[in-house]
Amino acid sequence: MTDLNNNNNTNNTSTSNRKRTSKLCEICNVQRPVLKRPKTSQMICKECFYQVFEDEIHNTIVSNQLFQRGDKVAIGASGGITINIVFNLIDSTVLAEIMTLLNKRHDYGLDLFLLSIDEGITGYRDDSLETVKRNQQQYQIPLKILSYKELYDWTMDEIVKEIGLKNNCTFCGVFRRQALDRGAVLLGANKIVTGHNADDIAETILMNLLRGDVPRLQRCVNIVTGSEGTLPRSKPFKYTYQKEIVMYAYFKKLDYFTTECIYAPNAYRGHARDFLKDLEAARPSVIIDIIHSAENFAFRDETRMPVQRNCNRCGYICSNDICMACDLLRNLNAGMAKVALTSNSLLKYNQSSTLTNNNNNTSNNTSNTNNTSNTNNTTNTTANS
Amino acid sequence: MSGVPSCSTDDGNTVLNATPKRVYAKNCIRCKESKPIIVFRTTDTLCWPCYREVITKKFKNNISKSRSDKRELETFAVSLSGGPSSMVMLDLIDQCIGENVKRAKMFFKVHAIHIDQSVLRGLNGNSNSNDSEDNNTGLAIQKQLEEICSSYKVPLTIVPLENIYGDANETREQRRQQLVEVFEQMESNNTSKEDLLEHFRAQLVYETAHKLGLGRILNGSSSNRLAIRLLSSTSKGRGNSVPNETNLLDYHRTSTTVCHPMRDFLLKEIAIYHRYLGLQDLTVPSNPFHSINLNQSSHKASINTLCENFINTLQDISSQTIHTLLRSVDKLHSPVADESMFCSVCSCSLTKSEIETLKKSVGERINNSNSNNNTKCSTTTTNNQATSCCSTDSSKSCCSNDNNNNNNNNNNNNNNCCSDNSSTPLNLHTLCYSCRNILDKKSTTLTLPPYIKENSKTMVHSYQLRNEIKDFLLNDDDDEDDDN
Repeated sequence: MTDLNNNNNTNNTSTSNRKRTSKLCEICNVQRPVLKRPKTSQMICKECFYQVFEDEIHNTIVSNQLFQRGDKVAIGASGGITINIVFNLIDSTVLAEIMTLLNKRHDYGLDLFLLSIDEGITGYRDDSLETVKRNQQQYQIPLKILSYKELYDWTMDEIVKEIGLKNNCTFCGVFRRQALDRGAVLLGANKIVTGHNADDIAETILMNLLRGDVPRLQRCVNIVTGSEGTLPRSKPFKYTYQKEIVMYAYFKKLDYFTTECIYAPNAYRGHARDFLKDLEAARPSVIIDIIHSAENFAFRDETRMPVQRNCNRCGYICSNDICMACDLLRNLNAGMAKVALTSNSLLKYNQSSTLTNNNNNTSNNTSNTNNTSNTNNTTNTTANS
Repeated sequence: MSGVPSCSTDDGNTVLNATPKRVYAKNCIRCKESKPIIVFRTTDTLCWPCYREVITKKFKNNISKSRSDKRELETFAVSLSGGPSSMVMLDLIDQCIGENVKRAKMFFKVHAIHIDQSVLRGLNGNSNSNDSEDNNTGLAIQKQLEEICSSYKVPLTIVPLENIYGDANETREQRRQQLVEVFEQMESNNTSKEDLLEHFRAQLVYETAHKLGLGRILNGSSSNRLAIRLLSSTSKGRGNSVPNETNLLDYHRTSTTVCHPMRDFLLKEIAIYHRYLGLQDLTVPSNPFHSINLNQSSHKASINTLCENFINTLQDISSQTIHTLLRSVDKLHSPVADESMFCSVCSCSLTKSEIETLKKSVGERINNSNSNNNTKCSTTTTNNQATSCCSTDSSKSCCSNDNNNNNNNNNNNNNNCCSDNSSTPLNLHTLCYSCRNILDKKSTTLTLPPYIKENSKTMVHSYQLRNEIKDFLLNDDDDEDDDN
């Protein structure tokens, strides 16, 4: 026993010695380290951090062949998939910085656009849009701002007024996804990049696992999604830690905006995120490990993926008769949104629409949604041409 | 039936209106007579005899799923930890094959295996004072287990954990020391410690079963345990093997199948069964590292304990959490990229990309060190050994314990071969992603159990051999690749 204790002591002193002596950056061995890399716990200097950080993203882009010369890429400057992802704008700001930087340095030959979605959340999005506008000035990239109001005739503020604070993220997420696609089409882009980072993806993996959502579990680790039908979206930050993104933005003194969405955060995702934070504290590599796991999941053949087709109303890609966005809009316009959320309305719609094509209940509202669907059709035809 | 309203909180979409209080049937819903003791699966009230029947039926079903030939009088190995889950499993097995069973008696035999990890109590910081006491409790547990097993008329084999280093009598103290040292050297990394212990335990159960000539192991993991395992293994990068670890049947060791017949039971249900029968609970803390560090200021929870807490919290919020998790893992499977390529520590099969990097590294080694140790030992002696091992797939067991195949020149004794190995470093490419995470940077300093290096060596050798003769093999590799 005493032997063991001694061993322990010597170990301790050796580690503390190492800490004291190694005052140089672990990569270049020249400068003093200013930070400990969250991903690898290396002590490195600022310059090396920039180098490593940028190179990693460059490698991700090159090894996954995310872009081809001449691509027109819309940068999703609204961030994550739910509005409550903290720092999402940091991510997209860094993304913009990186994309311009790497585009110059490695000569991808890309045309870049900034694309922002205005959900219409007072005190959250209007502030952040200011940042995006300043970004545009700084990087000299064309910017397009699309608002929910012009696309769907509803702002998030109005939606929340209608359905309350619960489940509003469902609307926002569904609408934003489609809005990004439409905005990109309007800009004439053929690819979209979003600022999803490794933390976001690991979180999504955990959530899909916990919800038993196998098709999504299958899709959520892909670095490029929606390649057939819609515009391919890629996530060049797939292997980049959120903390490093924040660090980068901080050291580079980037102009970023950070608040949490003012509407109540989604409780379930909140659980998953807290859990992931705890895991990361226990072992920093855990985020990459989770992504590695999900990449290696082998799905049994019998798990059927939903068949992709086009929405009857707006032509957007979906797996049912009408797409989720149209369904949500339909319910919103009918004043039924709150009820419909809890009672799988899309399923009901599909069943009823197979029986009778004309729905007498919603005849009032179809005219309303037809407006939007018309505009959508036009945008889609432009996309095809 | 029981007056429970249809609105539920199953799918995360919590209904906003207040849930009315559940009204349960006053009598057991099966026999309609007796007083119920449990609300089973949120709605059904059951009395004790009916509850036992339900559980037994499910258990029998799971057992018969795991048998390939029901006519054969097969013997299962039962891994017995002493905790409630395995005790209930022992009782359920008795319900299947015991003498008192009148209806639907099943025909198979069991042999219990208990891994005695009392050696790890020494790790418990302040253990100097009550060392002897600890020893006594270890012995007491063994005695009690023996009594219990004999009351069920089940033979029992107790294997001390330090036998992972071999089972020669004279080196016992040395082995204990080695084992303790390995865990000490892991420092404060609880996750790695726990995982390593888990792998050692599994390996020992496997080796023991193999020695006894048993091809199937029954493991009493409850659905809680498996759901936790699913989450924690995912967090450790074991995506390829996690379906195997958590499904009803675990095929990842080529010649032995691990079965989880208790997979359908929540810990709560097991505990009720356990308590009602007044079975003994000899729980040795399966996680001896957790308790130590609670006293220390540098306490960091391990990934495993974090996952456990997380699942428990979610299960409290929605009682479907565990079922959902296990249902989603049902849709996954673990493909075997190459049967002869498995992780040297945990025996899970390597993924294709891992095999590629291993092949590359082996190729480089051959090129770099034509005159080095590697070739020197592989020319004469090990050729025979490697061929005999890889051809019968029983290589894993023959490496550390029974020296049947090792009639060759060099290794007469375990200790010898162990010291031989320590000169050449472990090839980290023969480990799976997560085991590499555990041992990375430490593999040179740790005195790892000999089985790891043996596995690694055998695998590299068999690959080299196959590489030499590959031009003459007919559709061997190609077929395997196509299959998977």
